[in-house]
Amino acid sequence: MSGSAAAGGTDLARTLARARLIVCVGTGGVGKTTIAAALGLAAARLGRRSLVLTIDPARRLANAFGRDEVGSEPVPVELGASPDAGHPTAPARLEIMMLSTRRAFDQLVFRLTQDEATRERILGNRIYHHLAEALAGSSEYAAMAEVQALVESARYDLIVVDTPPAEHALDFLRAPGRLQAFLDSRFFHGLVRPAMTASRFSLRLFAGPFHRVLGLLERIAGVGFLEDLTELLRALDGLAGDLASRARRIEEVLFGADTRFVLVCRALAGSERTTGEFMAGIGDLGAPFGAVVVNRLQPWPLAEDPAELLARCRGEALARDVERLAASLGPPEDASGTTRAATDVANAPSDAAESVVDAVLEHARACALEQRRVRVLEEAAATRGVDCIRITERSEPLDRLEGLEAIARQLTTTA
Amino acid sequence: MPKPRSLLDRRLVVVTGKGGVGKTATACALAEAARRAGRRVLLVETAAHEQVAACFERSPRRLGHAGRALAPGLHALRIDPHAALAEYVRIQLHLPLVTDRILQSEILGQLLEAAPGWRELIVLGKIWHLEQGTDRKGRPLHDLIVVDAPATGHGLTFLDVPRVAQQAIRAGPLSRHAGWVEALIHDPERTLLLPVTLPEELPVIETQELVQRARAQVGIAVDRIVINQMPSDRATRARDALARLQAPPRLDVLPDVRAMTAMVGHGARRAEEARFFRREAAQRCELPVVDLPLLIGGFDAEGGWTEQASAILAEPVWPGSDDARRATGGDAA
Repeated sequence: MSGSAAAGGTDLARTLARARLIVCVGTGGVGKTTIAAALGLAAARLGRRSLVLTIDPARRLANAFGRDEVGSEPVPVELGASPDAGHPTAPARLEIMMLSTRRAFDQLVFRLTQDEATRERILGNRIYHHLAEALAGSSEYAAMAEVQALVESARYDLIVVDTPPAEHALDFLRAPGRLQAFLDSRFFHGLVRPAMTASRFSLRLFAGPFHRVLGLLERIAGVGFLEDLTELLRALDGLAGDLASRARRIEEVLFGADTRFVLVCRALAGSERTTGEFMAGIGDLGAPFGAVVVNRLQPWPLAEDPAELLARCRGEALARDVERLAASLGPPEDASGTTRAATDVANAPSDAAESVVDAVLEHARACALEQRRVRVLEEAAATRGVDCIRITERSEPLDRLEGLEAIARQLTTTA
Repeated sequence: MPKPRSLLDRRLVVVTGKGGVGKTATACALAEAARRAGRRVLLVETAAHEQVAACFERSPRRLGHAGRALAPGLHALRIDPHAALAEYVRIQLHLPLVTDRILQSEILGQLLEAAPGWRELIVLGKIWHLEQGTDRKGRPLHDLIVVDAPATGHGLTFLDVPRVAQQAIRAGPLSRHAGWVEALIHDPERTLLLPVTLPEELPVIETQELVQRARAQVGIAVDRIVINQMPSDRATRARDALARLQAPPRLDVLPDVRAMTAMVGHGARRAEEARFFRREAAQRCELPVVDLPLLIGGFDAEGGWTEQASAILAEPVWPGSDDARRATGGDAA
């Protein structure tokens, strides 16, 4: 795809060598964090100082590197020597961190407020206290601000961001723009400006549409709520300019020329649709698209297509094979041997042979379905001019880091 | 441990779980099972993008805020927060139609775009209102309401909003109404939280956190965990059978023994992992489990219904100690 075969590596390999920021997006359960970790590892192996940053409160990232926890400060990962002789011998530098969104907006307020009194007014506000986490995507905004600061710190060559597993995971990328729009809005200015001239909130200060909207709010939520709200907006007003200019900077970095978005998905029923929606979403945002990664495909050990096998295995020919298989089966293992978890050991050779065929054909059907879905995903990726990379689930048990190295290899070399 | 009541004996079942675990499929399976059992079912979607109709229909049409019948005895709708807000202002607050102009005003729109929590509150309020609905004879309009809760990073924030809202707003009708909604959520006779998870390491850990929060913070009843995509033991049986091979047979159409062993070995390891994490889920959450079988073709208009609908109503079980052995291979990638 995309002429990558000639170069012997994927476009993603070149992205890993050049980009400053890689944003991994996708729905939940696709193994996004694992892919982000593997991308960071691959870049580190290329000699780039890399940081993998997760916004996911779950411990997926720590887990991927076999740790119990990742803090909100970057910590280095022990990598050891590269398993691949082709890589540079310089020690690979990889750090990981988790962005704590819980109090991220508090920290932002703390940084941006000059005086103690304003800070206290905001952090002590009743509405702020209860709803800060949800305030106009505040945690997402704070997270993006942190990413932008890290990108511009020049401490790392590449930052890989693992985004939260949300149904509309791209929403958080719009948070800076949404906040900016709100700060520029008539509501914000209309409510804040007059209130600043009044010592106490009063509906009489507002005319026309404001009066009506506030009247409605007062009917629903009571005047105490409005006082709290006005108080909060007044306190935030001092920060509005800083927040808005910051939001613009974040968008510049997030959607800039040194950024690539990597869409991680699986080949399950319905994946084509959700992945298509994500691709459209990336397009709508005007974000630079890097690659599609189809993760956790089931291993298929044969050269021929599973569909071909299924077409062949039927009728009398299959029945004859089942008989031959049954004829070569010995007696079942004695019950005193290994415990066979939740298994009804089918003692009769014909039943046992049937169970083998059932399982083999089921695996073939599952793989045939996956391959068909992957082809749809590949076509969709091709129309957007990006690689579609397949990651196959390992059959053998692997040490976690070893598993990541294997995925990193699959990500950067063409199959 | 008392035997959990049937899911069909509740009024409101809120299906929850992280994105990607099959929450919508589980909600659909429960709604379908209840419908087949003769209940009048209302299936409620809360996500911005409708997904339910695609589970029932090959070319799904929109449900919309009013919704429509998807099958006999099954009505489905997607609550639109803005439409629900307009209804609330008109019906609950008895405000005149003049409010339409305010509701459509740009200024309120800007406030609503930025204001947190109101969507959740108004959606829950609408669910409360639907639960209260009765026909002319005073019977409930719906025997069972199944809610496909939003898949957010914090699965329970949705259900916690009424409590938080009362603290933030203090007074006024909205605060009072939030109290009614909270009472419904807290009523174990009527309401049940149904967490869905996958038999994998991290989804199980997340489910444990979700159940702890449900108990400690939200105060909603939870009596079982749904384990979605539970593999059958077919591959395990096949692996055991292949281990009994005395000599490799000559086969015409099947792959050679080595390839077959690789195929069933992968499936068997996956199944063993799944059984291990299913047991983990039960132990960590201190709840029995209900399995939904893994369907390789997925679960949609093409089929899979009968299997899933009967599985969801099965009595919850405590995984036995024979599932304790942790699988040896297959890292959760």
